[in-house]
Amino acid sequence: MEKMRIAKELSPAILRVAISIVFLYFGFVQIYDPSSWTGYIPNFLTSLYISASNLVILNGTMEIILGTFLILGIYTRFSALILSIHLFLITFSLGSSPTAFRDFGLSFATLSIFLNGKDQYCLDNKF
Amino acid sequence: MKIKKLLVSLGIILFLLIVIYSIRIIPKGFSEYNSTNSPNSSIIESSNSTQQTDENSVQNDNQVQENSNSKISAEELSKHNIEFDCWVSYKGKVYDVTSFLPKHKGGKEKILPYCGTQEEFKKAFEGQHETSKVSTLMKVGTFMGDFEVVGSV
Repeated sequence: MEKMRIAKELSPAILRVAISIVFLYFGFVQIYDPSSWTGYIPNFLTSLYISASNLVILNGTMEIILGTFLILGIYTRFSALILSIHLFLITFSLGSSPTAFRDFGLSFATLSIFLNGKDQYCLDNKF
Repeated sequence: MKIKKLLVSLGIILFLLIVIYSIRIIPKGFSEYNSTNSPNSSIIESSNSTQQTDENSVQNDNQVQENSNSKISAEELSKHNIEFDCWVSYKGKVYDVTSFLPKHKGGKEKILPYCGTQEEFKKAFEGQHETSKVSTLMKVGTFMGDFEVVGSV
């Protein structure tokens, strides 16, 4: 029973850290090589005054900042909600492709972090 | 306590922005590393090939030399407009990008409408990548020859 209790306490933290690593990885990759990601920018966004590469850099910056907040457990709910909505938008812009289905699962995983809120290992508990 | 949390968050954001800024100003990032080690590096134009010493590049240079004399008309270019035979023209050069289509990160659907075109491809290419991907286009596409310009301006 004790082991089950620990497992239940750990599971939201494991999910939170794993999802954060995904966002941090993609955030840093976008910062390193934005031109490889401009193909994913929807056409209606490229008509804006900001270039596609700069949009990718902005997107990567946002993912890194919110991913860091999520992994540390600061503003957990807020970070998870924004990242979840962001991923939902990406999923729908991709249409029906294997990548879209993967992102669909990830966005729901992020949504579950938002619904769960802060866990025992979040820095939110310290403040 | 809330002010403390806010200050910590602002500190983290500031730190991350500095990290991101440092990454952006590093001259040789992932992109250059990947492009020089990519298995897709099949064709390098002879002007860019001085630094390439591996066998693959020498072989590709020969292919470029072979194709450099051929002129491709707009009519000929327009015939290669399908998924399994896709040529595009950019800045007076014609490239075969058929093998690259399935590898395009944005999906082959983004390139397919522009197969067999010159102006349309240029507009779409620069709209998405500006000019940052010109060297990549030269690497992933097989140089087929110069685009034959008919008439004068």
